[in-house]
Amino acid sequence: MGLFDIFSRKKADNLIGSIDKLLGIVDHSLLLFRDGVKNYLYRDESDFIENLTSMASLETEAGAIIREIESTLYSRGYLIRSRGDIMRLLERFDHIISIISVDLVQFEIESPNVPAGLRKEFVKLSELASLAVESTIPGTKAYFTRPGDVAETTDKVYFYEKEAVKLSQSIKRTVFHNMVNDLKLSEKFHLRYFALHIEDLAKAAVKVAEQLSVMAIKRSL
Amino acid sequence: MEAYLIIASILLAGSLPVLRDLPVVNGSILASGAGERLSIRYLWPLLMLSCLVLPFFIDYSPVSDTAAGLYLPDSTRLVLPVGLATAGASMIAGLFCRFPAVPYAFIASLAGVSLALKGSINPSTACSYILSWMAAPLLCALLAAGIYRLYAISYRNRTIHLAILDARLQGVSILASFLLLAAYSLNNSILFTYITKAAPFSGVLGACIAAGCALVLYPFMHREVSMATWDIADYDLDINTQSISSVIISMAVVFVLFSTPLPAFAGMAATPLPVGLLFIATLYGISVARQRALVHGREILKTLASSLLSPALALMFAYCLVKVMEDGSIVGTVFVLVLVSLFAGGVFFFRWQTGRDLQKQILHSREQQVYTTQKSLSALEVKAEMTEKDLLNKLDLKRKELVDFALNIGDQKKFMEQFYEDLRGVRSLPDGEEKDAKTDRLLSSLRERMYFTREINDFYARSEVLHRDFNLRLTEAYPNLTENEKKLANLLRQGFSSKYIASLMNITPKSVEINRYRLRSKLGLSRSDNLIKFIKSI
Repeated sequence: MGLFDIFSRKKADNLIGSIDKLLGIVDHSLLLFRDGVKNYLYRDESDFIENLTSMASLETEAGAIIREIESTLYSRGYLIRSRGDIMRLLERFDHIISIISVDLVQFEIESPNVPAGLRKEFVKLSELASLAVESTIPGTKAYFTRPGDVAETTDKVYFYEKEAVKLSQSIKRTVFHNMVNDLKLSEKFHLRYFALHIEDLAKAAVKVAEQLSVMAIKRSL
Repeated sequence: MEAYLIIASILLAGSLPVLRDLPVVNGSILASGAGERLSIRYLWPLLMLSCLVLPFFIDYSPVSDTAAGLYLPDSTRLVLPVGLATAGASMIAGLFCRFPAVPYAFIASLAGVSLALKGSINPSTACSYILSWMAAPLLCALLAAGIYRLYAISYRNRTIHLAILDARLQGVSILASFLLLAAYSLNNSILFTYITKAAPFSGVLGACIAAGCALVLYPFMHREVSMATWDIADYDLDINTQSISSVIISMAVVFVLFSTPLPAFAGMAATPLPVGLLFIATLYGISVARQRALVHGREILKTLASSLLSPALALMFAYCLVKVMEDGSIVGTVFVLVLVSLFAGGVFFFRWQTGRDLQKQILHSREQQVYTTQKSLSALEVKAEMTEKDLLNKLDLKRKELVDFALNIGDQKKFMEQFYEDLRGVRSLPDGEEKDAKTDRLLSSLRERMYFTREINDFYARSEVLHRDFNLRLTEAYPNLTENEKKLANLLRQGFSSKYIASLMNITPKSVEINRYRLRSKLGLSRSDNLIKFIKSI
């Protein structure tokens, strides 16, 4: 940046590009997560490994983008009044990407024994959790352009999170009540643990929504 | 001597705006985020230096021309009262307000000198100044509110990314801040340049003196100025970028306006303005536009009071000082100098004492903290020691129990072996009578063993050590209990059944029941009371 490019939009455009790219990565990660869970449950190992590899590279890319955004915000004096909040929001997205990556890796390492009767429920749970996160993306974009629209998207996040929690509870109930003799206690615990991990994704989305709501209120003040 | 007087006056009258007003200009820039842009980082110091030096080379200054209507210093001897009165009045006003109106004090001190020398002040000039002093903050507040509303209206229905909006506003803020710094320096430069006009030096020499004064003051003021700057950026201007931009633009416009001859058309004067007062006015204007208070009402009142008090005091001080100096010539000057020294000493003493009190308070609170921490640490140590002691006691008891248990096993084994040998010996005896006698002896030794008196005594001794507190409390509360009753209470407290207690006390279960009944009556319990619960509650 030169001395006299006071009204230059280049850095601002770069910043917008980086934020959009990060949101794109989150969206892509969600697709990979859904696909990965499905591939694991229906024993499509080669595709599952491919999902894992793609997820690892996306995670690295997201980290680099966040660092770049942080550097632009703090060294160029952009968005000085909201940069702390924006960084917190982006870190929450980074956390979501980590949850997705860790979940897939755990599926690969621990190979939980999911009974055929529960596969559909697990796929549905992963979809609901992904939808909760997905709903935060338009909300985030709205924060930067039309803060008044943030509230509409956060409602969706809360709805999907609630549905995900309900389904997760139903899975746990089925595992512990209806499959008394089909599974060992250790297997039941293992399934509960995975349901909890997928549920965590929806909960992380709620945290993003809460952060967005606070930020939108701050912008309107 | 003349040069020294001028330098002293510049230092006195000039250091206050640097201390109190410059942080407002710099703080506004930092708050907008422009402080991290290269254009500000490198161009800002250059512009500041130019603003300090250039007024000495520019002859055109409506502010100075208007002030000439009040009084034009023609003798360097009269320069000192102007500097002293400005500094004294501003310092007094600054004791209770963050932003003393130094430029107002300066103009009023010129009026004071004029009043003392000529016996009157030009009424039209005085009126135009008073009108300007009232109009400037009002205009600033109105402008700030208007600019803020303009921003709000223009961005209300447009979908513009926050980063783009921020970048644009930052660009506007940078330009406005350059304008603000230039206009502020131009407007307030009278405080440095006007005094030097009385002296035989101006231009390069005047600029060198101003730059020299700035260099001398810098090490003393740098820390305080930067702290005040961050204070303004972080606390006063913790608002959105549109508001900060409105603050900078409105202040810059008002400074520019009142540095030109334009106010004369409205019957006002081009006058130096206090940036602090304008800053508070802009915050008030934006508060009205946003319908949210950004500044306390008390702060507004204090600033207004200070902008009234500063010129009033300066007028009075300058008048008195000139009168004393004119009437008493050298004696008068010495008297004034002594008076000023006393005043300066008083101010410094007040500040030193305040600082010392603050340090004492900090020290006291730290000592309190240390004392509280030490106290809690000692309590923790005592607790830990007690726990350790308790644990050691328990460990000792357990160890003894283990040793006793091992000894008991050995003892029992020895007894059994002996008993076995004796029994074998009895079986091999040929004589019936002798056999009977031996058998009786064996039976009696077995009976003795069965009652295991020694073990029971050991058990009681150990139980007494373990439940020492309970035994003490029981004896204290019920001194008429016998030893056996105390033993019974102890065993009941430990949860032993009547049958087990009977075997431990070598009595029948029925006797235990009778003893329990006696114990109940001695403890004063009714039928409905639970004996064990009561004993546990002791």
